[in-house]
Amino acid sequence: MGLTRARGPKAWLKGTALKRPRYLVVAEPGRDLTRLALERVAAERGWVMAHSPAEADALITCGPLSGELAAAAEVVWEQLPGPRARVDVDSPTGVESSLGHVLERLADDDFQCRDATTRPQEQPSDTGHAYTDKSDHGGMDQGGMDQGGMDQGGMDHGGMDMSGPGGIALASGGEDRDGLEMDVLHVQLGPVLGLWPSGLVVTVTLQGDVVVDAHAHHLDEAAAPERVDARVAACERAARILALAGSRYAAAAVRLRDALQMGTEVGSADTGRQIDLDGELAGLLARVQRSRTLRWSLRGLGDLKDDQIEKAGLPAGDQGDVHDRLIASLRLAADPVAAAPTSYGHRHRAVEALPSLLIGRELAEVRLTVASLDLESRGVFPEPEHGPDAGGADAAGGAVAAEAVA
Amino acid sequence: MGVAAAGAAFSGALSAGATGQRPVAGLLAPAYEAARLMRQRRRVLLGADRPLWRGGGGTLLVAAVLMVGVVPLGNWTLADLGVGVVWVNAVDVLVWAAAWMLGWGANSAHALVGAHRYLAQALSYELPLMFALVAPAVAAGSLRVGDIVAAQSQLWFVVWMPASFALFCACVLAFSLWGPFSTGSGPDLAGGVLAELSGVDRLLVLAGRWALLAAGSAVAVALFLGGGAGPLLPAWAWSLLKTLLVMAALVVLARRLPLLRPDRLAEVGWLVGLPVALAQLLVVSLVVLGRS
Repeated sequence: MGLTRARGPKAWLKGTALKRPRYLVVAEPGRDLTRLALERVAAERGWVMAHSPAEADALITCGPLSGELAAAAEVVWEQLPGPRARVDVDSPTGVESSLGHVLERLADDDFQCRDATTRPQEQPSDTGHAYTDKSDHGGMDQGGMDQGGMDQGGMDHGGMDMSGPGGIALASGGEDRDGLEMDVLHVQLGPVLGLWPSGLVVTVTLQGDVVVDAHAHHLDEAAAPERVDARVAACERAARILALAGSRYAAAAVRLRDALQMGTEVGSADTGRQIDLDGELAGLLARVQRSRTLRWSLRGLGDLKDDQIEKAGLPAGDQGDVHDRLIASLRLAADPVAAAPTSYGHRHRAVEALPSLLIGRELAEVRLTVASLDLESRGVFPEPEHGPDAGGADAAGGAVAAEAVA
Repeated sequence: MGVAAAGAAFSGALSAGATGQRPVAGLLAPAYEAARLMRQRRRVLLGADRPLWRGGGGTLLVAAVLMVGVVPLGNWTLADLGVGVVWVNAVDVLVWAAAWMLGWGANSAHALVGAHRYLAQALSYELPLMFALVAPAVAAGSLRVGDIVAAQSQLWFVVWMPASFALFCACVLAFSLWGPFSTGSGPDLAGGVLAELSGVDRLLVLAGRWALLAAGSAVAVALFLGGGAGPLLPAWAWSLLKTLLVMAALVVLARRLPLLRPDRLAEVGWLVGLPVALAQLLVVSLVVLGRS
């Protein structure tokens, strides 16, 4: 099962298969410039970002990773079906060679066969060994039913019995809001999850697709982080909302985010076609504002009243629903003189208040609400400087640690 | 199958255009993805209901083939059942089963929520779909797809039951689990019912969705667009050509719409879709009565 190893698949099949690899990114909070550079170069090469470990060929970390995130990355790495490759990028300058390394790895049949045969059995006979050290972490999409734990091990047993299939405890039932008996599932969103603020972890209790309980925390923040331009951050927020809503404008928003980022990078002479960025951003804003279907689809979602905003310590511009915040983000992105926030202090309060904004909402709304708020963990900055910050790239161009993964 | 591949390629080209790449590169995207998935290993999941989970993708493909089976290709039909229209509707329900198998079998919370979403969506679109299907059957006085095609020799049904046609096309997107109706495999669920699938299992589901879209387009051509009727070309060529055109139109239309969340869709399906379908059926019935 699952270990069908075609020895020496035809070269053309391999070549075709490697035209568009899918990759997952796990970035240490505060490594945003590296991550953005990675996403941009990958998009230029036609690579596609995966939604879940199951569809990914490559795991690319923007590190070095620490603590909870490192453990989560291990779990995710175990879930890549293979052929698989893993590299670490530690600065924007190292991206190109890392992607090249990924391709070499994926094309190396001997390595992939060895990797496949030496991997741990995917179906542990007893969940109580080898995987328990990874309990509690790990991202999302590996949802072993009851614990947001992983299908390939790494269940968090939470003191439950092991009576179910594969030794996983069966979900227990509970009355949902309509008085129906529904299974209660505990699922962890983040830290490894597409279209999700970096460094945020929200553990939710689900009944069906309604969140009945939630806890949120930030991962430990990196010191000496890379500073991201406010317009780029706003554009990324808008792109995430659009992607979650399934809007056709999402691709354009990502493209403009990358173009904005290129413009802020020190010494990046944009030799390509000169594009009128501000004009394009204004055009995107106008198209999104005009879209009736998008308005209908996002109307009334994640509606925050003034008192909730105040209590959560969120910026005043965050009131209204997801659609309002989408427009606000795009406005900020299109504003040539947008000033960077001088402090990220509000985020800790916002994360504390987050559960109260999510409980009782449906999962799609939860995802859109989170994406529309500025909850990124940006790392610990030295005391705030004044005035707009141009967000120059971290000049410390380190060598790439592209480790062979045994 | 060829129609499905053409549709996938066309959609790939449109996506590439949207991301600023050359559309030609996008034409090959489905081929690249297919090769990639053929090389990728399948996963063994802990506690998964393997027969159900692995069977889901195959079920989608089988459903598409069963649906095409009752559609005349020119003068030739695989199985011109006396209850062809009912058959189409029954196969659509098989798709519900496949979506649920994929979601439930994976033993994954995200996949399960995806399956819930697809079923909730099915509740919204199923009744409008049924009444949209009934309209051409009433007009032709038969449930046999061949008779319905023959009844359009003077005038295509799309001309005097446009609402049914539009509803049916929307429902084709819905039972293909695709485009604006793909919330159950949406990005907010990390892929939903697709979240745990890799390799050939995933390939079957993706191919199955395109095959259903192609099959649904073929049914739309037979029921509303006169089947193989047309000048110059032989009947089978017209059937194929119209199917391709309907599918291309659906792909373009689907890209223009955001994801329709099931909770919002229920309102539209029951408060707009259903009354419209019934009103259209009433008009068709009155016309048929007036004729006889």
